[in-house]
Amino acid sequence: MASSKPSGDVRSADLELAGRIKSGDGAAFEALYRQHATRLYNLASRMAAGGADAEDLLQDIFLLAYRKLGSFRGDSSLGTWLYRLAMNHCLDILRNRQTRMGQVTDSMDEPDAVPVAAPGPALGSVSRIDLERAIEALPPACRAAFLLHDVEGFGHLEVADILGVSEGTSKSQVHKARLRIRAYLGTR
Amino acid sequence: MIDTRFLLSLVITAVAAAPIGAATRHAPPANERRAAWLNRYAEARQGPEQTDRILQAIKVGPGGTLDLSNISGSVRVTGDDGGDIRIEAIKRVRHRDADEARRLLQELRVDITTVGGRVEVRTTYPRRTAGERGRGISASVDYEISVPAGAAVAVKTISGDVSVTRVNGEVRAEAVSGDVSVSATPNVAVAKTVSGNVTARDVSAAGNVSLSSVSGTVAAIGLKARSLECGSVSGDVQLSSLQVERLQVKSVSGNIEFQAVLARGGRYDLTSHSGDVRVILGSDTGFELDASTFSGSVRSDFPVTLRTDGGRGRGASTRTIRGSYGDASAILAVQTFSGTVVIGRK
Amino acid sequence: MTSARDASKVNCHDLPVADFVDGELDPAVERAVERHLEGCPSCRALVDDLRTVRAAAFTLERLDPPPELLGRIQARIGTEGTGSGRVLPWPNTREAWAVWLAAAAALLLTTAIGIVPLLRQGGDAPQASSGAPAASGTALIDSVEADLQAAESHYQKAIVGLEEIARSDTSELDPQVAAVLQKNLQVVDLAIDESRAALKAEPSNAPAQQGLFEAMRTKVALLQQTVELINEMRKGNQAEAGRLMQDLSR
Repeated sequence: MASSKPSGDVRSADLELAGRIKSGDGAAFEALYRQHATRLYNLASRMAAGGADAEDLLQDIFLLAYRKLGSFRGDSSLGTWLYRLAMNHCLDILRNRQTRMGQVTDSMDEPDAVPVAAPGPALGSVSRIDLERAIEALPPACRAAFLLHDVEGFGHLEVADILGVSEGTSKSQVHKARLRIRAYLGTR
Repeated sequence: MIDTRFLLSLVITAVAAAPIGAATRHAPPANERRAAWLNRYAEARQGPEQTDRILQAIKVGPGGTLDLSNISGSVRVTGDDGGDIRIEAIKRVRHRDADEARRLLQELRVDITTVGGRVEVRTTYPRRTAGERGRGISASVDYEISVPAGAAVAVKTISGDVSVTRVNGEVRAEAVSGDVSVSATPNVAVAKTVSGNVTARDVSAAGNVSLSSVSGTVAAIGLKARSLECGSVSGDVQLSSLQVERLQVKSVSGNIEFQAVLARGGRYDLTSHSGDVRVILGSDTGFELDASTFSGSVRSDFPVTLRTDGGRGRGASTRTIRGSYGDASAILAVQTFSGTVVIGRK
Repeated sequence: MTSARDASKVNCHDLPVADFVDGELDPAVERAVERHLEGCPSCRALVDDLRTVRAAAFTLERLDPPPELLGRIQARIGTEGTGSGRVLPWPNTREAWAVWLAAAAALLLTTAIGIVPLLRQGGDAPQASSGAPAASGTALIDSVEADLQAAESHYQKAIVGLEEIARSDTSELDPQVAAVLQKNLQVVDLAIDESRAALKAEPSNAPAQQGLFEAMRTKVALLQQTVELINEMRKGNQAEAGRLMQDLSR
């Protein structure tokens, strides 16, 4: 999935698919769904862990996508556009929770003093339960970048595109996430 | 968001009105004697009971929806092969003054509205005269309703038992002070109460089921669903013959007992503060186990390959078993503070 | 960035750890990093751990959306105009409350649980072997400690706020129900006290931490349930509520 401006072929294919979905083509919508549903489900589930139901979230995301297809211009690929929509939705939900509870939200671009090396013995094998919990403990922006890059396998350029930040910010957020997870796991 | 200007509300009901006359499924003799005594007591204190019966049948076809909201009184809903929603409502009022009692009985309304296939039933309470303010009204409505088997049912009452049986549509059953029981409902979503027990028997759901109480027991016997969320604060949780992919159970001071066959790749989280947690597994599905207690003890009958624990920041009194059994495909996370944890074989 | 450096000399502070772990360095720089790691156990440990985390993340469980979800979405798209998506629509306010509270409580719980162990590391971690910079974890720990305190104080605020509301109106709840709620709040308070005491003795103990935040979360949920009930009773009786509003208008 290219994250820089799509080539002519990709762009016109995406625009055509979007057009078909908008005009009510069920098969086209299904194609979009089948291509991205599992990945989005995994993302949504881990972004919203402990709160909203992943199934409801996935439904909301696809409904939002359907409604907003009118504004898709082909500037990015349809996939990137969809992931961007999904991540923004999940981040909104997370940040709403935090705002209501009065917590300080983490901003994507905040400069962060990251330690070079942390003391302690090396990790052995990592338990999946612990890792899922460690991810749940990450602040939203950090969690988003980590899930996209390390869990789902997007490249930093793609992550940056999806989250609307620079490539450097994506790298530092992922690095920050890995350090926090390492610290969390190190005390288990 | 919540309206912080809380208007004072009436004191809802004298407790005597609610359980009496509500035929519960398993009423042991002691309860019947007590019910009779309460009846006599209420009669002496508040006057004789006056009742009125309402019958109404609404044609809805094989589907249909029942949406009922009651205040005091029991609600029983049963599915059958008909195409009607048949409502029998018994209004009950007590008052020393017979005229006042009759007025109250009239003003105690059962409002039934139908929109398409959806039947809405609402109990509305009578106005109180000035002299009554501050004292409870002894008024209640007991409902006995049959619906087409394919109907969806949503029932709430505040004080009274709720039971829903043999209904195939989505079922939501709630009470505040009363028992809630659902059985033979393949599409149950919610069964909850505050002060009372929740029982789910032979139920299933395609998605998530939520069972909860605050002070009572939550029991599910024969439940199949994608996920189950259940808990109580001071009550026990008893789950058996369960088939779920995800489970979350919580109690604070109650015990948890969970008997099931774990699903491959399933995730099961059980937490109690001072209660014990017993997990009895009936099959050989592999699982990753994370069981811990602060001051109790942990035991597993399954041979668990321990992960390296390595003294990482753990105090002397932690009891933990963390490791895997078999192919570790499911995740079993069990936690108590002062209770014991047992992972046993069936 | 890294290409501007003198590739032959890389020290701990300047180590491009993130890019190295991602395998995105120029070959020359990469070799320089490897040479550093050969002689620096703490950096070696860091890199190994980050690689472990990355690998573990990539092999996390793949969840599958239920097969009927597509159908449900399409159905909702179909009924968009009519606004009916559920069989039985419930009043918005209660739903909003329940979702908000569960989400808020869950978020606080997971955030708090994630943060507390980090404090432990700052407290007693031994100095790394020679060559590593000292107190390198401090910056991360400080921000985390602040997060923890914020999380706990927000729990407390939520609890106090809800308690006020609940207390001022429980006299209007059915006395039996009020008694049950009160008794169960005491059960939860006991759990909170026990967990606090345990944490005081052993601040790094994971079950004690989890016990505390689980109990706090339950307390918030219980208080919220009480408040919802009061609200519901007000709503549930229109005729009486109408009359009460008349009475209360001063």
